[in-house]
Amino acid sequence: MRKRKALLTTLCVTVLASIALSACGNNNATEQLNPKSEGGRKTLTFWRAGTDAPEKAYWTRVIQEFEASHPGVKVNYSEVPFGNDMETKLNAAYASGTAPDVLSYTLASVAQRANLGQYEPLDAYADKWEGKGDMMESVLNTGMYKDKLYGIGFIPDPRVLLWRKDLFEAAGLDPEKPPANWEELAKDAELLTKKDGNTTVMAGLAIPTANAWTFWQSFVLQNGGKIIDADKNEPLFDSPESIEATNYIVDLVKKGITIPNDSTKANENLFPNGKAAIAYDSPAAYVNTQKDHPELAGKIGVSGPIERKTKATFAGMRLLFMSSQSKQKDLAFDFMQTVMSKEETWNRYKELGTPVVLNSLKEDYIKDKPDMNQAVFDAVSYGEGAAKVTYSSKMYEMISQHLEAAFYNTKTGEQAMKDAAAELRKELPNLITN
Amino acid sequence: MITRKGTTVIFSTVMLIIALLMLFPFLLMVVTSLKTMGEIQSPTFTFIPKHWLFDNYSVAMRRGDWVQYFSNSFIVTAITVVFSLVFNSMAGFAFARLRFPGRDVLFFSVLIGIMVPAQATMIPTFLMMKMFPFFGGNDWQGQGGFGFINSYTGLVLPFIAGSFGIFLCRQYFLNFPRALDEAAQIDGANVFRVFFQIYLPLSKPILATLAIFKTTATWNDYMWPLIMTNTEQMRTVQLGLTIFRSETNVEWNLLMAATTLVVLPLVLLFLAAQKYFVQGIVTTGLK
Repeated sequence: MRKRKALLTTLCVTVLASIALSACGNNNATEQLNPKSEGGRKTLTFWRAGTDAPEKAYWTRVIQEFEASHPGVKVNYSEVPFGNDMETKLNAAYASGTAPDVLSYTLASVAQRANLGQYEPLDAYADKWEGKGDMMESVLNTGMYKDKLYGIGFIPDPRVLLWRKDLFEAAGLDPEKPPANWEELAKDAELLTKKDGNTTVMAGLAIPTANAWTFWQSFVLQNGGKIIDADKNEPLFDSPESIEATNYIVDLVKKGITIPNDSTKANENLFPNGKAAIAYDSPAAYVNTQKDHPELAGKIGVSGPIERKTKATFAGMRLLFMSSQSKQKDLAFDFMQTVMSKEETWNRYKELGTPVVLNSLKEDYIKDKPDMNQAVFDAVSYGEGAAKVTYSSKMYEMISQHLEAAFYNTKTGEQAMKDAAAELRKELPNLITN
Repeated sequence: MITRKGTTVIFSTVMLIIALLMLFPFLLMVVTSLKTMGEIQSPTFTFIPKHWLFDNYSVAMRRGDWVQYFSNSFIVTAITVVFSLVFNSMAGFAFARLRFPGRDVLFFSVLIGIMVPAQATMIPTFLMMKMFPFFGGNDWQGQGGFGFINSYTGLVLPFIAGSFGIFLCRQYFLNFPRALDEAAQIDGANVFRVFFQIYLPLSKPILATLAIFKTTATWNDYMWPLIMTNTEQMRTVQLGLTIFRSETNVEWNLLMAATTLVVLPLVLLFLAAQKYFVQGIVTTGLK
C-alpha cells in the first residue's frame, strides 16, 4: 500500500513536471523555424554577423520589402555577434542540420567552411545572374575559393588613411597634405606624437601592438610582398619585402609613436578615441569619430593608402553565403540577388554608409562625397583581405605574436618574420584540412 | 600591545577597504552609464561625470525590445530555479539518506559532471534538444523538426538538475542526525513524508543558497541562449546587451546603463536572501 502510494506520488510529480515544461515551450517560436508547420508557406532563414541597431533597421526594411514582393514567403531573421559567438552558433547549427539558408559573414570563413562543404558553390546561380557583370572584379574575387564562387561580397571594409587636420595644423604641418610616402609618414608621425615623460599620450600613428596583422598586411602588400602561396601552402612573409615592411613598423613602435592597443578590442581603437593623429582605419572609424566627437566635424581628412612599390591596403569584406544544407536554394539566391541589386546597394550606402560594390554606381558614389568616397572606392578596388586558407586564423595569430615580441624588444623584425614562417611551416601538416 | 578594541578597528578597516575595492567596478559601471562617449574616450580619466546624462538609460531601453528580453529572462530563470530546487533537493536527499544498490557508483557519476566543462557538453546537449522526440515537429526518432530549438523548454530543460546542486544538497542533508529519520519511521512516515515534512522545512538556508546560485547562473547565461534561440522574441537580457556592440565600436555609456538595469534584480535578490545564503555556505562547508 505504502509502495503504491509512493509510486503514484512519483508519477504525479513526473506528469506535472512534463506538463509544465511542455506548457512553457514557446510553440510559436518553434513553428517560425519549421517550414512544414506553416501550411505550405515558404520560410527562408537568414543570419547575419553583427548586432548593431542601424544594420538591424536596414535588414528589417529589406526583409519587409522582400516578403511583400514574394507572397507566401517568410524570412526568419537572426543576428549573432561577430567572432567566437558566431563560430559556436554556426558549428552547432551545421552539426544539427539547422544552418540558415542565407548567411552574412566574414571573408575569413570562406576557406574553412567551403572546405567543410558547408557553403554552397554559387557558380551555377551566378552564371544566370545579370548583376554579376556589374560587380567590381576585386569584390567578386573575394568570394572565390579553389576556382569556385562561394560568397558574394557586399559590405567592404577597406583601410584608408585618416588624419586629424587640427593636430597637423598645431604641429606646423599642412592640414590638407597627408604623408605621401613611408618616409614622410614616419617623419610626420614623430612630429605629431605627444609624450608625458616616457609615456605617449597622443599617438602620431595608430599602430596596434596586439593582433597587429591587418595593419602589418597593408604595409607588406604596399612593399610588394605577399603573405602566402595558397596553392603550395608556402608562407611568403619572410621575404625581403615583408621583412623591410616589418622593420619599418617595429622601428616606429620602438620610437614610441603609438600607444599600446589591441586591434580586436573596439574600446582600445586609438583614432575613434581621439588618441591618434594618423591611422589606417576603416570608413566606419571615420563615421564613429565624427559621431562621438562632434567638435571634430570637418577636421578629419581621408585619403587612399600610401603607395610604395604598389597600391595596396587591407580590405575586409562581408559576404552573403548560401548554406549547402538549404532546402530552398533558388529562393535563397533570389534573396541574395535582391540584396545585391543596384537599388539596394545604393540604399545600403545611404542607410549604413557602406561602400558600393557595383561599377555602375561608381560615379554617383564619388560625386556624393568626393572628399572621402574616391579614397574609399580606390581602397576597395585594390584592397586585399585575409588570406583564403583554412588555417588563416592560426597563421595570423602566429604573425601577430611574433610581431608583438619584436615590438617589445625580444627580437628584431627580421627574426620575428623568420620565426613566424618557421613555426607555420612546422605546424602546417597539422593545420591543413582537405 | 594591541588591545582587543584596536584589533577590531584594524580588522574592520581592512574589511572596509576590501569591500570598497569589490564595490569599485560596480560604481565605475554606474558612473560610466551617466557619461557621454566623448568623456569616456577622453585621454583624461574622470570618475565623476562632467554632465550627468540620465537620458542614457531611456536611450538604451528604447534600443531593442527590452520588455521582451526581461520577460524571457524572468520566465526562464523562474522555471529553472523552481524545478532545480525540487529535483536537486530530492536527488541530494536520496544520496544522503537512502540506501539503495549502486548508490555510490551513481553519486560518483554525478560528481564527474562537475569536472566536465560545460563547453564540452554544449553541442551534444544542443543535439539532444534538437532531436527530442515528438516535440517541435519531430517524429519518434527525433527527426523532421527542430525539437526544442528556439523555445523556453530548450532554455530550461538542460539546467533543471545538475551535479553541483545535487552535491550541495547532499552535503547539507548529511549533517542531519540519523535519529531524525528513525524517529519519523517509528511514527509511520514514509520516505516522501520524511523529505517534505521534516527535511524540507529545515532546509531553507541550502534552498536559498541554491536558488541564488541557480538564479545568477541562469540570468547571466549567455552562450546557451545564444546557440539555442534564433529570433528576437526569444532573446534574453544577456543577448540583448550585444546590441550596443558593433564590429568596430562599443557604445559604452548605453551598454553600462543597460547592464546596470540587468544586474539590478540579482542585487535585490542577494540582499533579500543574504541571511540564508551565508548560513547555507557555512553549513555545507563551501567556500
